[in-house]
Amino acid sequence: MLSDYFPLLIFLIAVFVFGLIALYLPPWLAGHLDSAAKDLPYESGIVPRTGARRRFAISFYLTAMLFIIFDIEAIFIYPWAVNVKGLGWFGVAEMAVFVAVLLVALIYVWRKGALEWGS
Amino acid sequence: MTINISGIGIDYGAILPELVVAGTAIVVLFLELVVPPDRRRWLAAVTVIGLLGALVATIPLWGQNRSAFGDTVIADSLAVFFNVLLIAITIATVAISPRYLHALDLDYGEYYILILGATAGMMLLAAATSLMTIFLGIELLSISLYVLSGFARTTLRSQESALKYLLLGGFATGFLLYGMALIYGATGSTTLRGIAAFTTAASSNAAGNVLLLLGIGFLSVGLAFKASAAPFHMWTPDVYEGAPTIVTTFMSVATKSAAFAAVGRVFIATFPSISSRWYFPLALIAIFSLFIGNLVAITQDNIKRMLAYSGIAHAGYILLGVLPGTAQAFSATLFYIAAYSVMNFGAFAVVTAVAAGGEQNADLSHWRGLFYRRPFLATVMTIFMLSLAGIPPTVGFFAKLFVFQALVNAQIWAPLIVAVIMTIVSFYYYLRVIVIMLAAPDEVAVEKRPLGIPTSTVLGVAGLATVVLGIFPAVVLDWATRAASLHF
Amino acid sequence: MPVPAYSFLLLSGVLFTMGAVGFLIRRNPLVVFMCIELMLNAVNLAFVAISRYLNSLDGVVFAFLVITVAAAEVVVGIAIIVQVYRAGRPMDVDDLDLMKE
Repeated sequence: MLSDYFPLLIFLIAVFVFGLIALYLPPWLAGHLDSAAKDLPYESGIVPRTGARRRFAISFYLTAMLFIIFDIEAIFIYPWAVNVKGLGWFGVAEMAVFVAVLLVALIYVWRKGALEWGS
Repeated sequence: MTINISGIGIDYGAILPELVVAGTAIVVLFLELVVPPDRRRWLAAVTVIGLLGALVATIPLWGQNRSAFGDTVIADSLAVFFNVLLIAITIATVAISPRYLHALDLDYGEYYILILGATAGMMLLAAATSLMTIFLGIELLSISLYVLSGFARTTLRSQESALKYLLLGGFATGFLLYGMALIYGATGSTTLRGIAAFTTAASSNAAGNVLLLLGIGFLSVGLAFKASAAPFHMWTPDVYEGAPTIVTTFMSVATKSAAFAAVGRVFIATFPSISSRWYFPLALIAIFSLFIGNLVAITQDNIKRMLAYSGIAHAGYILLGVLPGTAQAFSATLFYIAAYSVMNFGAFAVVTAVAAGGEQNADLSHWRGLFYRRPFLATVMTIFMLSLAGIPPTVGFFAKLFVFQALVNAQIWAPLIVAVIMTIVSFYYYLRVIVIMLAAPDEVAVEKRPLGIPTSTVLGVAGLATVVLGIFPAVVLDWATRAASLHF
Repeated sequence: MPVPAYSFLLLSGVLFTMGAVGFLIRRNPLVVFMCIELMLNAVNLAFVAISRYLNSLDGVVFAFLVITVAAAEVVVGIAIIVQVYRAGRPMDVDDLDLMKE
């Protein structure tokens, strides 16, 4: 039973050893050179302008929350889509009601102005 | 491949009341967008019409035994009993809402949508015969109530109460669900019928099945939380105090009723064969609720907090009726729930009316001399206090009497003795309210707004019902007896 | 080598306990809320594992319901937390003590 996990142990050791080699071999071979550009988080990327802990505008949260709530509802459409032939027109009608309720919610959100950006 | 739909038992008639309530919520959602802000009172009228429609839809289901949607919901007398009770509570709540909301500048249509959503969840819970529908019902009512407790968005206390309710409610939901998963794992079924079949089968040795017992334990924690029974009551006083009073009025009676409907279906109808296993923990919860509720209520100076603890105590009395596990005792429980709904709703409605009248402070000292300022409110409050204490000739007396009788018949002595002693203790804090209202008023100028017809009607009817049912309890007891004959 | 069903249940139990303990010891409402989500996900894992073990679909359907309901709870929850945060309250659940006896 325990011997089943032996390959996993080998794998873990290999990962650890490879990590150490990749981290310490290049500096040892190439030597080390200090400069201001080397201390940047992204040496050859876009230079960050502010700290990462800024505050986000509240509209980000609102949009994200609305996305989640509508996105998750799609989970009920997948099983229906797999069985749509077997369920026939009855299934289509049921799904139409389901989507209609979601649509009502979307209209409500839209009319309330929650989809306006930055107003 | 064709799927056999008829085997599932699709029957929209069985859940018509719930559908009407949910449909009304969608209609009100639409109307909220088009109705100008100063006409929002009409949304209350639409809500009441929808609820009356649901009431009409639920009556024909009385006496039936319609299991539908793959045994997940049932339309039987118990569901109708709770539907009627819950719809009545909701109509009364909505009727007294506009005045309170207007006084606090909370005139938003979303209030009615959320109330309807919560009601639909409670009705679903009362009709649920599957772990899935029990979960859906509880969550539908909980999520609506999370928002409603924070409905006074700019009030710090309301926000705080919403956050506490949300976090502790989510915690309880986790336990409830884990219990359901364990029960499903132990029995291989999510419908109560399937679970009951497993536990009664001789081969299953259900009473020794650790997975099942652990699952039932976790499930009980979740349900006890919703019914605010000790020791899972910690959220109750803070949430009741911080939430807008009208919301407290609604949830203090409606949530508790719906939760006990589920308790009845789970413990009495599904697990009677292993009652020896759940009897002791449940008795302990009941006794604990009686102790905590009644003793802490004495020290409270805020009327909302006092009623919160009194509600915890009443959860204990209601749970006592579940202990014998017989239909006869359960009918006493149902009568108690109905009586509690009327009198506790009335008591909180008076607090709401006083708050809407310009006296926001729920501190008991502000109620000094209420008899001289507001004779009608003080009189009905006296009736409700006497009834909550269980003094004849009010409905509260018979509620306690029937439950105690059931305990005597079942020879359950220890919880009975605790209940009797605690009832005597409770006289103190209920009568104290009356004494404070009778005391000579301080010379304070209080702005007085008229009660309005809906509020005075609701309060009058609730007060009258408390007294009339206290003199003629037979009618409701008869209904309760017929509703309590659970069958699967 | 298939992983036996009880290992899933064990993992689910560990996750659930982590969530419950985290709920009790963490102080930031957002983190506390994440602990609740962890508990719900542990439940989902248990449902799906049992469902596979028993070869019945009920558990999978239940997991679907839990996912959607949890999403609704998250949306309401984050809205309430943001509301408290905007009122300028310190983000520590121990400081929510406006209503103490």
